[in-house]
Amino acid sequence: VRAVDGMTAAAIAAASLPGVAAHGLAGSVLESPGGPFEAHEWFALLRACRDHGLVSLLAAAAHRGGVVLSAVQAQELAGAEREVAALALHAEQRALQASVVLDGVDVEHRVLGGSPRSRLGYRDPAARTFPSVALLVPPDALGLARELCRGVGRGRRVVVRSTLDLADVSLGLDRMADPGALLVLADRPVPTATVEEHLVLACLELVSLADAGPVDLGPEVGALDGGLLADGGEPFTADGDCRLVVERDVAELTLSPAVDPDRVRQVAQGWGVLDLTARAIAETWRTLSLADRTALSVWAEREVQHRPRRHARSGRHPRSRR
Amino acid sequence: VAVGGTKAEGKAANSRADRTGPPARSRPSGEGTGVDQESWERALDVGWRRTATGVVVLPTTGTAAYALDGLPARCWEALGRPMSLDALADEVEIDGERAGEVVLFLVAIGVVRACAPSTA
Repeated sequence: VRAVDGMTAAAIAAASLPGVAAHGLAGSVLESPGGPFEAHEWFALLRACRDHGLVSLLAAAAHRGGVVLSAVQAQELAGAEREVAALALHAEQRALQASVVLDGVDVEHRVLGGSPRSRLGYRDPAARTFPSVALLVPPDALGLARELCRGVGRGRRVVVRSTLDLADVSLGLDRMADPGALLVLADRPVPTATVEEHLVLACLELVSLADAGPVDLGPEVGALDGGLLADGGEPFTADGDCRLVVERDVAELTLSPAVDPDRVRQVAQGWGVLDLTARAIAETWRTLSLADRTALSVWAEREVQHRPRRHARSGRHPRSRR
Repeated sequence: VAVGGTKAEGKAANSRADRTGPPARSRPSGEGTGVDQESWERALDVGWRRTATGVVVLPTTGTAAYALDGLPARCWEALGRPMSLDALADEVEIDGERAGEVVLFLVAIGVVRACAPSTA
């Protein structure tokens, strides 16, 4: 993609992003951005990839020859990839530390979000990085967990969310048997995700990953299970734009061999997010131009085409700005 | 954005990662270092992730992550199972002296440790 016809570098970058987000996904007909890039184009592309959590995918595409870069650009990309990988490792390290602390006082908890998604749901875990890790704890343990985890991470900011923060938002969580509470360990403030996205991704995570074995974070951290629900933690950038990495998550989870389409629909129905789940999957298929059809993608497309939008309670789409 | 405990540490981590030899204080001083008489394996609980060109490792004892490319990354991958220096050298197709240097570097940053000699 070149800067022609009056397109700005940012517009070019935006147009290139779905190709980056789809890199390596079987069945996608999108191509990587290609290159070579002028300096301002490269700056915009790398920045956009950072914003959307796609740096590792861009690096993988470049490494496989799908993106032509200058030596300097390749060096910048390698540095950016190392940076996001290290951030993810630190996030997991903090989760482990918090896990040990919570185990010490018998507070049940689960690791959620990018870490289990990448390690259990992605075909290539290195493709998914994350700046924070969310831990789910029971509501009655939230105060204690917040206090105990305050020191985790050597002075880094610890963001604690409770279900109370989410209770006023559209769907509410009263339909969920035990919504738990969310304790997010992050280097920076984590934007609050919409409840709809929580539920859609939770549904896919739960159904896709529940039988995939324990999260490989150490002996103290268990996998997701049917008793606790999941949270993405950081699906939105600060300005509220959807991060494409979340659509990649939806694709990876939906394409997971472990996924049971009937169970996805059953759980989504039970949580009142059947329409939202269908729309998330259908939109992911469109955004990433996935040619391969699965039982879930066919169902999702049919639902979106033939059902009226019934998400009137909040009036928002899962990808819409808050 | 931090790549270690702090931004500065992150930069340091990257610059350190560019080196393939051990830190000066960890270089063998001569005979009797034992580096060629042990087996070696990844240290416990070291976090690591693959990158397009290698791996990034995070020792449990420090705040800095290390990016390993090239030979150190290949050695890290190979040490997923315990092995002697000779076996490692064969595995990554380098001479034993070079393998020893890399192992000492990986030991120095806290991601590889000595273990009982492998019977394999």
